[in-house]
This record gives sequence, structure tokens and C-alpha cells, in this order.
Amino acid sequence: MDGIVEADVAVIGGGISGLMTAVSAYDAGADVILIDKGIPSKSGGGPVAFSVLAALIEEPDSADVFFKDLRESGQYINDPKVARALADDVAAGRVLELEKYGIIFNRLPGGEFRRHKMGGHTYDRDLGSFHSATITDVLLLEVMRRDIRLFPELMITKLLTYNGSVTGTVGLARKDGSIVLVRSKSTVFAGGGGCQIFGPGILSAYTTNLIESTGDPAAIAWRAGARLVDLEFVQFMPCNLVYPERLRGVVIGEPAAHGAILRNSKGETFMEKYTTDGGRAPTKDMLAQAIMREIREGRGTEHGGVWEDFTKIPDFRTLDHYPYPFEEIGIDLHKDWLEVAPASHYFMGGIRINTNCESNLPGLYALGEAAGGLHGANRLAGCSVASSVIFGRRVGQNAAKRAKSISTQGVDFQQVRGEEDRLKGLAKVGKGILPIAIKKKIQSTMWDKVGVLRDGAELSAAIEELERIRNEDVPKMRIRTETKSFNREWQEVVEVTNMLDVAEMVARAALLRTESRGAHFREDYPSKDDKQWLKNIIISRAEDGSMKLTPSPVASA
Amino acid sequence: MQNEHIEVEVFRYDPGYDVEPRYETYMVPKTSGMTVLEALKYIYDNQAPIAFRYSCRHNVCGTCGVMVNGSPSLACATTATPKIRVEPLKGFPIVRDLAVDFDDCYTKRLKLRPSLDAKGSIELRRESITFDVVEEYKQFIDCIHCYLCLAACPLVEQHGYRFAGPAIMSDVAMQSRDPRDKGDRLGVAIAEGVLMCDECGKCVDVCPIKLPVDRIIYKYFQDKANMR
Repeated sequence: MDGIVEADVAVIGGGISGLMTAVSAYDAGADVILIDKGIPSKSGGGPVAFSVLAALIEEPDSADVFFKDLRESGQYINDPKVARALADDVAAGRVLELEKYGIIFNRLPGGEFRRHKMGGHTYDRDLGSFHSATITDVLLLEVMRRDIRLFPELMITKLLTYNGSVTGTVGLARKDGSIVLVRSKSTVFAGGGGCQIFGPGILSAYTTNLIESTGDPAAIAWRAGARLVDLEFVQFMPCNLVYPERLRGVVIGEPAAHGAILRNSKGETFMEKYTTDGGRAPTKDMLAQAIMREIREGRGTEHGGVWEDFTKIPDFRTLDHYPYPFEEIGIDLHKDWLEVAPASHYFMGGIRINTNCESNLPGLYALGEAAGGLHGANRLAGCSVASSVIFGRRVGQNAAKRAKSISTQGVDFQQVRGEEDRLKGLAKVGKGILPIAIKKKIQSTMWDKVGVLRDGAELSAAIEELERIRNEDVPKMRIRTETKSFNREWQEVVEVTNMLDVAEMVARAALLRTESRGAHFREDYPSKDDKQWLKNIIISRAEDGSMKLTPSPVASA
Repeated sequence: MQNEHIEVEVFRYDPGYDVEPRYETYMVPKTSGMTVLEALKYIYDNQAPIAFRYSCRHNVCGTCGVMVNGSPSLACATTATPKIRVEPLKGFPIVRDLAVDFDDCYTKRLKLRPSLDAKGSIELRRESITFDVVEEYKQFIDCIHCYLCLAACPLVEQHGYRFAGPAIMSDVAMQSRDPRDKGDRLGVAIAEGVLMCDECGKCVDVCPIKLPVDRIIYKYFQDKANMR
């Protein structure tokens, strides 16, 4: 053990969820630390999230209408209490309160809020703040103003339990390779989802997310005994650039947003084949599925996408907010088509929480993409950032309250030493398979077999392949340098163990759910089955360490 | 096209192991529109475990700042030329190879008390913020705190943090545009050396989002100081 840190509340993750939690816990009187695998405010979803969030509920809109929208979007398997909490808090103006911290929402020339009506919302309750990085930036300033200790580039690798409660964590510091024991009375996982498990690329997987999203919270919490929920539901953004590589994962917008047209490799339009509802813009799920079907049936482009044709759009100014150097790389949107494909965007599933963000393990809390239950089978637009704000505030207060009620608590040093040995054991230098190569194998397996279009045989094959990677490749995993200074490979070997667990959860849950619902689509079970599947799949850890999946009726309202 | 390579000279230095820094040259197969970040990642995946930082890969997180052929650049937003030399961002302590330590920047930003200062609780009044305020405020929120401007600024080079460079001052300048803010932003700006800036424009040249920071920060505060 190279260092010890103590705090009332340890917040893990420095995105909007984590920053908001830290501010709220501090203001409730707790001694707070904020830990981030990357750089706080720069590693969560904030910098890449869309700039719009559900914030403004005014007559005739109400918490009830918003709640209904949330339930419908989640296809009635979201946790009604958790969804209700979000609707109530948004209606009570809790998101608008961000302006107290200096965040300013867009205004119209007359001074009124600029409101947006997003897909799936009955009313125009969404506000914009230019881009969401504004929110992370300003919340970071609020963290700075308070006496909250920041631990950038510290990757948490294990939750410590003592008499059934979570009493701390162990982490690996990137800058100097030190292994740190964190003793905390409350531990909050705000560390995001696992979108990096989908699709092999050079700079990252086929995802809109930052490279840090390797599913660490879900994997670590599951190993410690936490119950997870809804892991089979992963939202895929339909239209993202796949080429050139430098822009892979950039969300380019759905055709309807600009009046663009999708075409397959032969130049043919194809959406009309898949939309039955003439005239209405297809949903994200429908678009993603249609594009993947064209690619799968051999009508995809060279780099694994389809064409999005902007050449005839009525107004090129709608593209002005894309700050990408199309000209520099020889793309003329007036003449050239763009290669686009779906990319993983958001994990609806995660650590199962109640309205206080408590998990089943006393002392462990979760929110944001690390948590599951709020969104159900599909996430309503504008509710990711809103949930980070709402539940950040809630969890901060609850975590502080718990910390104040506890005087002392123990740490199981056998677990600490065990984790230290595991981390050191993973950092084996020598000739073998690089962690980055194993990551790419996991990513291509998941993309090919557990992606937008799923079926039983392929899901089973994916689970087998993940097993093989775990048994054959991982023992041969080696890194190339023993240095302790910024040794990214050491971090990557740990990420591989997390990604394997999360990938297996997604694949197993997807195999078990023999229906199609929201973001989960099964070719072999293409319809929704409310009779059998108005349920959530709960993932827990069995006595023998195996993954236990239990379908469970949706919680009552 | 297929056999084309780019020659990448990378600064290598592990302070815990190496007697002194050295440069190593790697040949990277060129792809269409290849960025410096893609070249570094290719080297990392296939040739050597070089240390460099990146996260979003699309010019929003601002963590991949390096010197490319002597100029502060974001690796993800810079197209690789046939021969490039990549070094750590100038003026920062080196962790290893191209990864530098930004901790001092946070400490310095913190010292300038950069959050909204409304002297007690703020009454939430929508009308206190007008469209014009939003337009003014908007100029600053694009700053991604990549700190390239600090590596380019001759005054930072000469005086260190006694001169608060653009990325350090941007929070203060942003708050100065919020009508609810009661902090003495001009006083802080003067104490941090804004009057020293002669608008050489080197910060604007390297800014990945081309913010006119010389005008909206330094010129703005200088004009205000003159009016006082």
C-alpha cells in the first residue's frame, strides 16, 4: 500500500454526476473527496453529451406528463419510483437551479428561455446550455470553491466490504503507479457506463463515448455483491461517422434533423423498406436497425457503414455547429456523401438503485450511467444530464447523512492485500498478448454478435468467445514496461478484466430476454412480449462466483 | 498511398529510469487525414508503450496537448505531415514521455476564486439574464482548458504563473460577464498581470477553437482598467 486517504464521502467519477454529488455532499456537511480515472470534468459524458436537458416544466406540462413520457420511452420496465423522483425534482425546478452556480441556459432575443421539444417528450421542456461541457466546467469551479480534495487519474479497482457494508475502495494511480487505500463511510459510484466494449477501432471502440467508459463501476460493484439491472439495454446512436478514423464516433445527426438521405453502397435509398409509418421520422432504434441490416446483408460501404447524403439538404447552416474539419480532410458536404454507422452511446443498465441512489450494499451508492433502473429499455432524450443533476443532489445529501451517522468502521485488510496482489500480478512484463489486443477482441466480438441486431445463436457464440478470451488469452496478457510513471498498459490490464465481466453480463442478459423491447432487438424474437417480459433482469454474484441472472417483475410504483 | 509512411520523432523520457531524455523515430503507415493522435496510437499499439494522454479524440476534452514540430497543438485535431517531431507541452513538468503534469494549473485557477460570487444565495430570476448577457458569456464557455495557450505565451514563459495566461484567466473573465457576479474580477485581473499583455496573439494562433482570448480577456480588462 503506497497511500491512504480517508473521507466521509468518496465520489468516484468526475463527470456531471460526480461533480454534482461532491458539491451536494459537501454542502450537507461531509468531508468529500472526488476521484477520477481521467481528469475531472474531462472524462465523463459531459464533454460529448448533447447540450440539451429536461429542465422546465410549466403548465400545461406537469410532473405527471413527464413521468408518463419517461415510462413510455422505457417501455414500462423502468423503476417507477426512480422515474417519478426524476419527474418530481425536474418539475420542482431542481435542474434550473444550476443557474445558481453560474451555468446560464440559452435565451431568446426577448429574454425567455430557448426551449426545445425533443423526441419522445410531450412538451418543450428541454433547455440548452451551448454544450454540456459548460455544465462540467462550471460544476468543477464549484468543486474548486469548496474544500473538496481532487484525485485526478486514480482508477478505482475494488470495493472493500466489512460486515456486509462497503467501507472503502482500492485504486491505482496512473501518474506514479501507487496503490491507494481509500477509507470512506459512503462510497458513490458516478463512473459511467461501458460503451467502450462495442466495436474495434484505432483510437477507440465504435462509440460516441470517451475512452474511459470501460464499465468499471458495474464490474467492480458486481464483484463486491451489488445487484445490477437492465444490462441488456444499450442505446446505439444511429448515424455517426465511421471514416476517416479521426472522426470515428462523431455523432452526425439523423437524416430527419437536416433533410439528409441514407443510401447503401449501391447508392440506393433504403429507409422506405423499413418504415411502415409513412411520413413520421423513424426512431433511433429503427434507424440503427435498418442501417445494420443493410450492412449485414452486404450493402455496406468500405469502412462498415452506409452513406448519409447531405448534398441536397435545404439549409447547410443546420450543419454549422459541427466543428469538424471536413474541408481539411477533403470532404465537401455539397458534393460528397459521409460514411455513417451506429455507435454505442449509453448504458441504460447498471447498479440497481432506489430513489436515494442506495444499492443493496449499505454504504454503496450509484447514479448516472453507472446506475440502472431509471431509463428502462430506452432512455428519453435530455434525461441523462438531468438525471446526473437530480440524483447528484439527492445522493450527495444521503451519502453525507449516512457518513455523519457512523463514527468508525473497519476495513478488511485481507481484501486490501488481495487486491494489491491482484494488481501487481496483472502487471506482468514480458512477451505475450498486449492488453490493447485483448480489448479489440472483446470489442469486435460484442460488435459482431451482441450489437444492434441480436439473435440467440450469435449471443451464445459471443458468450463462448468471451469465455475463451478469459481462459486462453488473459493468462497470456503481458505489458511492455514496468515503469510506474503513466503506465497506461497497467490500467488497461485492469480494464480488460472489467470489460470482460460487463461484456458477459450484456451478452447473457440479451440471451435471456427472448423478446424485443426498446434498444434490445432480437431477430429470433422480433416482438415485444408483455406477458412474459414486463420484467427486469437482475444480475448478482452467486456463491461460487458465477453470474446469476434473475428475471424479476418490475418494481411497484 | 498504401506504402506511404510518416516519420514520427517522439520525445522519450522516464524521469524514474532515464539518465536523460532522448528522441526515438517511428515509421507509421499513413492513412487518409491521419492525425498526430492516430500516429501516436499506432506507435503505442504496434511499436512501443509511449506515454501520452487523450480521452475524447474529437477536440472537446482538451487533454491531448503536445508540441508538434515546436508548436503547441492538440494531437487529435492536428493532421500529421510526412515528418513530425512530437514533444511534451512546453513549460509543464514531465510525468513520462509526452504526458505532463497539469496540477499547477488547477492550483492556480483555484487561487483566483473562479466560481460565481453572488454574495450569499441567489434569487433565481430568469429576467436577470438577457439575451445579450448570454451572447457575452457564451464566448468563454468554449474554452476547453487544454492549456496550449500557456505553452505559447511569451509572458508565461518569462514570468511563470505570475502572469495568468488565458486558460487560467478565462474563468475570471467569464464571471466578469455575469451580471449577478459580485467578485472584484478587475482587481484580480490587474493583480494577475493583465496589463502586461501586449496582444501578441500567439495564444489565439494555437487555440484549437480560435477563441479571440487576447481581445475578450486582456483587452477587455485593460479597457476597464483605463476607464477606472
